[in-house]
Amino acid sequence: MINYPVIGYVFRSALRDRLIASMLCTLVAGLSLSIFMGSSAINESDQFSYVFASSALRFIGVVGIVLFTVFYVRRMYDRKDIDYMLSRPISRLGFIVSHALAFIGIASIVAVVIGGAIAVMTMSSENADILQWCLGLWVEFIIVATAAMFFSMVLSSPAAGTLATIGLYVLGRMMGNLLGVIDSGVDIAGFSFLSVVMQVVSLIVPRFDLLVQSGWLVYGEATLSLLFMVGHSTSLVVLFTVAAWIDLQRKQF
Amino acid sequence: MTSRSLFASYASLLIALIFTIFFWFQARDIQSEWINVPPVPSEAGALSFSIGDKQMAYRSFGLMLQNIGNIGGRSAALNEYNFDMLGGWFRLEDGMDPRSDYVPMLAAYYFGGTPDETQLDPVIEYLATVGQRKGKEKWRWLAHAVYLSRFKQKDLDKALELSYILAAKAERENLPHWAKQMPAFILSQQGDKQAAKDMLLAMLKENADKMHPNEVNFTVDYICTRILDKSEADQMPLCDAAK
Repeated sequence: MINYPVIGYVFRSALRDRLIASMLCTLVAGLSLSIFMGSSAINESDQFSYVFASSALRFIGVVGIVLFTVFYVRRMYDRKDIDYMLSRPISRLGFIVSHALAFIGIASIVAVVIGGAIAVMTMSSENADILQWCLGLWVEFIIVATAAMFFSMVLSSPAAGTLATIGLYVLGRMMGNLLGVIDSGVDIAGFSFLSVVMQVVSLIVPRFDLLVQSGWLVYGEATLSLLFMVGHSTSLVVLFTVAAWIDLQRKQF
Repeated sequence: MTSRSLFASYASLLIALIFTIFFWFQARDIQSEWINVPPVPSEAGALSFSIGDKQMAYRSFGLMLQNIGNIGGRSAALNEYNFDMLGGWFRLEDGMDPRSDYVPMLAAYYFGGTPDETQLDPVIEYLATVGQRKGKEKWRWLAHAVYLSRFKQKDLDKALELSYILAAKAERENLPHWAKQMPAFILSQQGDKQAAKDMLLAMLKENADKMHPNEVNFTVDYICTRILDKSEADQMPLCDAAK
């Protein structure tokens, strides 16, 4: 099912698009800016730097993965690369799984680079729960990568695919907050059905707010269970991959 | 390209440039201005600024509070700040991270420095809230609230009320003796010398063996030189022994 040349092709595309090089440049810029801003705080400047750097690099990583994945997939369609690839002895399932694995691989490299930078930065901190933070970051990135693959397959415009994935990401980051608002009984007259809609939407929205929290780098005490992290991410990765596979099966070439 | 179309393109460029300069004159005098402390969002609203990251929201708004009066190259004096609004920001920040000492320090040592002591109520209220919480060295913020009430606001009733809370906390958590003695210091300043003396004497009687000799000496000296006058001190055996 796994087609290694396809995976290699995606990795070569990442190198050709200078994804890693540009991520490294933004990482250096993000870290420098975070340290600069953190050092302007009157106290707890290290904690400020950890929080600013982790939040900034996390978002930069997500944007990098989404842009690469979406533009790679849309370019594959526009240049008819997909027609050529599917003319080779590879099933549509194999094609999707290989691509999903390739995007997960690229997301993992980005997570390792960013996680490594934050680990070096927080090395002197006694409290930072860096292992769980890195694990959460990696899980978040692979979910984002497969979501970007799904949206870019379904939506024909790269801009729409990018916005949809970023929208899902923002929704995922805000989901705990939105569910809290619903549970606190806030009700807009005539729009009570929105609460039900949001509850239903939340069923398939990743809980990014739980997976990584910059507070873990300040106080440690990451309370998220490993079982939830693995189970939640696996189910979503499979969900987005299968949805992309179904969409590919329905397409005519 | 013909000379006519070249002329048209240069003419268009010149017209566009003239319009740009015209609008520069319109906007030249519009500058950022100090609108005072902004309204406080709800916690849900604050979290949306950092897309759900509580710690990021806490730190970003903390830095905003620190630099709030510096805008457009000008600095606003602390007494121009709306301290009631600041109190709202303190409470918001406290809700997002009750463990950090960043905002308490900002409140105590930066906003607490306002020359207008009537503005200090929200700062004292916030420090007293944080100071009553359990946690490493949190009690110091309560002590600072007592200090601000006593020395800056000169509101001895409020200082006494807070000092009793501090003393009770000091007793429970085995804090330094000066925190336990705080009510006596304020009672003495209020003029209730007898109550202050009784309190410190009771402390010496019950705890002298557990206290550091320096603390014992300080307490005796405080009774003999700050609470009692010279003639009263001469009649007290404790003060004789101290000599």
